[in-house]
Amino acid sequence: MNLTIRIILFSNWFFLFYLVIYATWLLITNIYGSCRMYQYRKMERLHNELEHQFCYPISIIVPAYNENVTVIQTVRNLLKLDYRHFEIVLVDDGSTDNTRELLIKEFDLRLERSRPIRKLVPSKPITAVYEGSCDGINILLVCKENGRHKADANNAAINVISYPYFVCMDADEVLQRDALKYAGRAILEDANVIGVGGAIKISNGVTFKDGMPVAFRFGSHLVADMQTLEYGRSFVGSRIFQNQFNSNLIISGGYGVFRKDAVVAVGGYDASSMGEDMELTMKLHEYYRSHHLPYSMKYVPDSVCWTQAPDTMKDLRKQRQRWHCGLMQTIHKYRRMILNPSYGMIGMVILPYVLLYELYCPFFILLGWFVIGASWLLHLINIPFVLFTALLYLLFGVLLTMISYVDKLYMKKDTFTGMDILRGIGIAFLDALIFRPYLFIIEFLAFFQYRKIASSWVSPKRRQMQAE
Amino acid sequence: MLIFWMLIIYIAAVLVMLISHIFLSHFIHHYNKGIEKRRKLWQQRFAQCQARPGMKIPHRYMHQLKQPRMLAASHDAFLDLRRADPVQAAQVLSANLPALLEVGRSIGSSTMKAYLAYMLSGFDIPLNSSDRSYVNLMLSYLTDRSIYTHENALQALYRYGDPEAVARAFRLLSDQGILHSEKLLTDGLLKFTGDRKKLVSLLIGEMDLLNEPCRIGFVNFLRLSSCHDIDDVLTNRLETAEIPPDARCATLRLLGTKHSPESRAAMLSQLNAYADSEDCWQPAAVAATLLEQYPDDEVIRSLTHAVSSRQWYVRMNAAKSLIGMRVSPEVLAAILKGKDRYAADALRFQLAEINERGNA
Repeated sequence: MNLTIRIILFSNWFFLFYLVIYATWLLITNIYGSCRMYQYRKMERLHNELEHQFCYPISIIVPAYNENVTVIQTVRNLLKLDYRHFEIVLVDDGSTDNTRELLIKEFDLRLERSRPIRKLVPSKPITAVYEGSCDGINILLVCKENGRHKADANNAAINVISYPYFVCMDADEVLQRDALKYAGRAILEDANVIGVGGAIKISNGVTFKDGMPVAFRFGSHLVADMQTLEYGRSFVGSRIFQNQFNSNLIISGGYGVFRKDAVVAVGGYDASSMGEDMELTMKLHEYYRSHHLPYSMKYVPDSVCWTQAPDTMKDLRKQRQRWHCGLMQTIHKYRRMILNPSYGMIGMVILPYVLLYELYCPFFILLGWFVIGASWLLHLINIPFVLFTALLYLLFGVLLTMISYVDKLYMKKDTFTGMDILRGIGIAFLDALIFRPYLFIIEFLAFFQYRKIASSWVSPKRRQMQAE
Repeated sequence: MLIFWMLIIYIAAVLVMLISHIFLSHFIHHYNKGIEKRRKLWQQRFAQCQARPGMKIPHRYMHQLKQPRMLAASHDAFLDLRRADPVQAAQVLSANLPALLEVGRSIGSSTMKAYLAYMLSGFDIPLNSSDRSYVNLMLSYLTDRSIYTHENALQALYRYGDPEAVARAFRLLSDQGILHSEKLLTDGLLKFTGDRKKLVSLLIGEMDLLNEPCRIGFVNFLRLSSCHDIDDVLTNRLETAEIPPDARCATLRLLGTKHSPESRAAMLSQLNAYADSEDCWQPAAVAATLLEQYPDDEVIRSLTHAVSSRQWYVRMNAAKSLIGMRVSPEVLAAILKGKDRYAADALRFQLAEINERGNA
């Protein structure tokens, strides 16, 4: 047997082994995630009764750069939040449109001359602070020089906020009316909580009323629908599983709650990072573990934030390339944690998993495709067997996707029709056959376009949310 | 072939999951109906107890309270009974409390513990003071990680009205390094139903052993209940003890609610001592505000000095107090025309604020 054939046979086995581990991981995390969700629901009544008058006050940070299309609606939605004590801190990151003027006019904000600013974390200079209130809720507008990055805007806000916890989110999102209630509950349930991540869901095709989704149907836009399934899959399974071991590697920049003193202790957001949310989460893990301090970062599936997904392949490509470069950058920065027993489950299991199944996944998948092709040419594999196995694997993936879909719709008391299920199955197949291979290629190419991507900033086209 | 079979097994597992998911979702949808059914069951059990006074609910039923739905349903049923017949409800509780406390000792979930403490905090506990089982259970809940559990256990103790139990709880929180909210502690102490004087004396005895939130919560409680019995002790501590800035501020606020030469002297001393401090300026800022009610020469001299503090809040508060005292225009002019630009700025800012408010 010559060397080429040996290599191909070895690669075949490696690729199969790789897929089996992945399938096992998915199965375990999904079973665990589903069981936890069920247990959580059983406690719901007790949780609701325990709702007291006390809560931690929270500052909601909304960085905005040229967000004149969505920012007013976002603030209006925030004003309807079902939470007792919060303030809204908008950061105008040197917008060149009329974002600032719109906000000042709409919420009758006044220039605040006497507010002291403690520079706890680095940011570009703050040029003015406007203050006002609406329905008894304080609204602050922090105007600053453009920092070319959301991280810089978040840091500026951290220097201004009054409360011990803060939410970071985007200006084009809808924070579900009860999102802070659930996040606040997680903070009260564990005194060591320094961060809470919520579920990010896709708002395309969703209609909102008073900050709550009231109607959602599949099939309006294929690209967004496939992302809906993708988000559901990743949030239901692995995040709940990782939560159990306090090893969630990312609290999304789209929606996360952090304890201010913890973030200040690690120096705030890193404005040079492309994945500033993951970078901050990793930094917190590293800081607390290396100093042997008790801490926990929770994932709360009921604390939901709705975000606009790119609805064109072009926008999607740009977003995913950037995410992948951010992942690359962060993993490289914290490489010392990989397989380091002092970082526990994160170092020994989660980071190696991320390395193999997220960061380098495109390489392995493309290698797998290549090897299957080569084996076929060399008559080294049984084609019907491979096709049948691939079909089974596809079915497995589709069924897992459908679990998260059923959970999403049914557990949250939404309703769905038989047609919705059929559409869901159809889209799940398309997702496995077209969407994911496309993403693998994008992520593969990102490795070779790192410099170009790192030096550019993409802002997808914003739309007004659908309101009833 | 192995992989093929593995995939088949995985698919079967996922299918089972999918089907069970749909069933479980259906079950969750009817969750409240399930509680209602169990509530009726508990109503029947309580009715049997009513019919035979002193009767205890069988152990196997009490054991069911470890399930969230059963606990919630029994609570609902008991509240129904209490609304209908408070005396009978007290008798039922009295007969079954030991078994309930045993359940409380065996549950592990924080949420369940918090709920049980919440449930008990709503009842008058029919125990004599020598029986410590209730207090011990609530104290054991204070070591839980959940703030809900801490707060509800404390609420149960405040309602129970035993000063020694509350003092022990404060001590336990401090020993365990639990930083419970000082505001919640103050609010809780204000709800205390027992002998307040004894509670105050016990907490004063423990003062040095309490952590910062417990100390501040206690001092704020004294302020809000207008209790000045131990002002001299606290004033003395300001001068002698190593007290963190926030606790110092809480004491000053307490002293600020009583007009007396001792309070004035203590506040003045804090202003003079900390006006120029780099890392403990907060007491000076608070004292600068509170001293507005003592417009004498010595205070004006100290405030005039404090207007030049490096700390923004001290400067501003001192300027505000000077204006509020209606000091002579010469004093203000001296600051405005003086060499210290920051002091002049602070005063000018406060004057502008007052003018603005006057115009409004």
